[in-house]
Amino acid sequence: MEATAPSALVIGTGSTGAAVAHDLALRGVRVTVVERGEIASGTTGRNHGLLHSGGRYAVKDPESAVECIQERDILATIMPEVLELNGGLFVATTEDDLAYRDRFLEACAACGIPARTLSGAEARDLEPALNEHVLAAVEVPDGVFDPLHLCLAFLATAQANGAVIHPYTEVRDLILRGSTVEGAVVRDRRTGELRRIEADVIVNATGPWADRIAAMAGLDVPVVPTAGVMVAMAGRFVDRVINRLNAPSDGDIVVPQRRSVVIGTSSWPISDPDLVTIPPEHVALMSERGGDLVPSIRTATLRGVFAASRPLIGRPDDTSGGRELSRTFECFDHAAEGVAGFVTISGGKTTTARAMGQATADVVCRHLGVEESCRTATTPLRSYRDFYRG
Amino acid sequence: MAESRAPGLGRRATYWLVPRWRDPGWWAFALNRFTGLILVAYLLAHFVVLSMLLQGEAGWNQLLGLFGSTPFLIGDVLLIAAVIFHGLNGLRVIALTMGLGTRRHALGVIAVIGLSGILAAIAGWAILFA
Amino acid sequence: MAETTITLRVWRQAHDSAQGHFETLEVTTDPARDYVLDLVERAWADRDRTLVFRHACHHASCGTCALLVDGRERLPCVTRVEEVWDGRGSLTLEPLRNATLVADLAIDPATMLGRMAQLPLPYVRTVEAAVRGASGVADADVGTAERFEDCLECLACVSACPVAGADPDYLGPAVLAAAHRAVEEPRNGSAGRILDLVDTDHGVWQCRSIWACSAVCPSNVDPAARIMNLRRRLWGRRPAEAEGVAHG
Repeated sequence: MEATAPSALVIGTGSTGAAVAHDLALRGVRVTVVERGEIASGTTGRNHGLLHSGGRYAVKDPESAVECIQERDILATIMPEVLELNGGLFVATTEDDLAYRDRFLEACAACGIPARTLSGAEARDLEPALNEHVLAAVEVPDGVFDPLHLCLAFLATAQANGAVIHPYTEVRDLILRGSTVEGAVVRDRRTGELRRIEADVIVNATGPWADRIAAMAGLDVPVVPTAGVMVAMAGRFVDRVINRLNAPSDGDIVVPQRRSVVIGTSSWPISDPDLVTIPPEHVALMSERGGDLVPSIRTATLRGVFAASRPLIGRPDDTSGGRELSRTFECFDHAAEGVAGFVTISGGKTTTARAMGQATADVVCRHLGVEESCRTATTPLRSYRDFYRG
Repeated sequence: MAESRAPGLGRRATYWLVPRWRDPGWWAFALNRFTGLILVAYLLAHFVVLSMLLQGEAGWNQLLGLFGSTPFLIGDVLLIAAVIFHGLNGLRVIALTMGLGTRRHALGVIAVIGLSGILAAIAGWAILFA
Repeated sequence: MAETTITLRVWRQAHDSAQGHFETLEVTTDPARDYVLDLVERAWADRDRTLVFRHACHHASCGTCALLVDGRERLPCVTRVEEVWDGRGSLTLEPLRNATLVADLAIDPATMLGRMAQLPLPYVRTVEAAVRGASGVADADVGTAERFEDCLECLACVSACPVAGADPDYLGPAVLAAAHRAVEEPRNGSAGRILDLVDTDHGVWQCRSIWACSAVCPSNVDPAARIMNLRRRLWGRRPAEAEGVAHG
């Protein structure tokens, strides 16, 4: 890569930062990535790993749903190595669930999500651990990913295309010349040393910490960190993702993760994503609701309890405690607010990370005068292990 | 403790001494090395002793008298214990390589140590009191 | 047990070649509710933001948080405090052994995982799906499901292995177990090449059957048994090869 190629500094190695770094590196931009901890140690690491078919959002948030099914198919092509593509079931155990089915099927059809109706018996043939009172189910192309390795796959490819990734490197301040962001002052957490990294454009991909980074440039980003609890139980009771066939609610997803299952999630707004206190009643709720879908959960051994902070894009008039906010993403080009050289990408979910990367890279490349278009939808990623070959 | 990648040879030679109290496998490994050292030391001592035959019958008989004394007999018992353990543990390791007993590894170690103890006790009785 | 205070003895070391020392940090805990990783995070958030440690998933899927708790390899994200602390004395936290240190409790997995990268290993295995009719009769049409490999690449096994400490070139239990998986379920016909790679003095033959690796593995990999299995496969191979040489 030429030394005079335009440069970008990406802050954050969650799925968003990793996808942005990959897209920019693929277009020939000189990319530096900084991350204050281990790769994916923010929100992305802690999600339950559900690769969304979009079924969950089809009725209430069709914009998100369409994004999901499109991106799910793309990820299945570019990174099949880090995905379990066993499908998912939306399961009805009550009459109320059953009444939801028609709306659900219509919405899936409208969003382009393949959906297959199953009887209760057929559902239990596929997944014997389901509640014996299953009335019906709908099969959709959900999948499971492993958050760390998904990020590593993007980063390994970016690295092969010249990107340099610095974990354990914390942004302490942004460098401004007038109203242009020119770089960042970072602290190497190993040695405590401060140094400057300069770049033509700085991308803020820090999820629920986005407002903290943006504030360093005097900017306000409407990110509402909203925590959700996940509970891991020992025992792989299902191979498919199991969802409740109803409007999204707490504890309505069961995701297999190796020899455990993870039940999620709930929702409560928090002020500090660095230290989240988990309300014990949320934990009990997960076992309870998860047990409605897969009864073995109720008697399984508790293996882990953890919380992730979703970076939801806030609207000033939202009163739903986060549950009703759209799960779509938004790219804030701060040049529109008078601060050049700085872009924030927030919201979204890991399933749509590649699309978030594309939207962000498009904005960044426009500023950099890079005319390459996005090829990430059709470029297979390298093995995540290549990240460690250097 | 964390170590840099290539510690020196002297350091590396002590790695079997880093205790893993709760791992029966470590006990077997450490005892195997320890008894192995005893056996090597004994073999060398044995050659030295045999070379004393060159010194003539009277000196040899004196040496044998020394070897019949109680401290040396106790040493014999310890030596036999070392031989028994080292041999039985060696058989256990061969069995593991064959794929036998890999599921209940701890049981194998306990069996070897237990059996070694019993056989050494019998040998000890025979040497000291019979 | 209700909320109480626990004393953590945390290893601090600026980088791989620096001198290290133990630092004492006190945090509050509910031992029945908290996981050891929660304590580390609390110590970082409330007491000392310079503490460097690895974590990502907090549910035994990424393997990054592995460290020594009172001298034994564990995944602190799924280790409840009450499992390792009886309410008295301190809890000692140290980084894994036999790895390059980044700082404090964080190790750099690049050496071992770089070795894994040289083997053609799939991350997803194919298993028979458990398909039974609702009546309990096995269905003849058994489908297949995909599953991630059990190994989290947490390197607890490498830390536990005295041989890995003594021989920096030893491939180590993690790499050998992964190699065995690739031989067990070969894709692209690569089993022969993998057997060649592990058939070295620093490969399967360096193992001393200590079994500490299998004892500490948090994810059912059983590296020790897999290493023994690789040896048996290699024995079977050699006479056949020798014959090949004799007949030209």
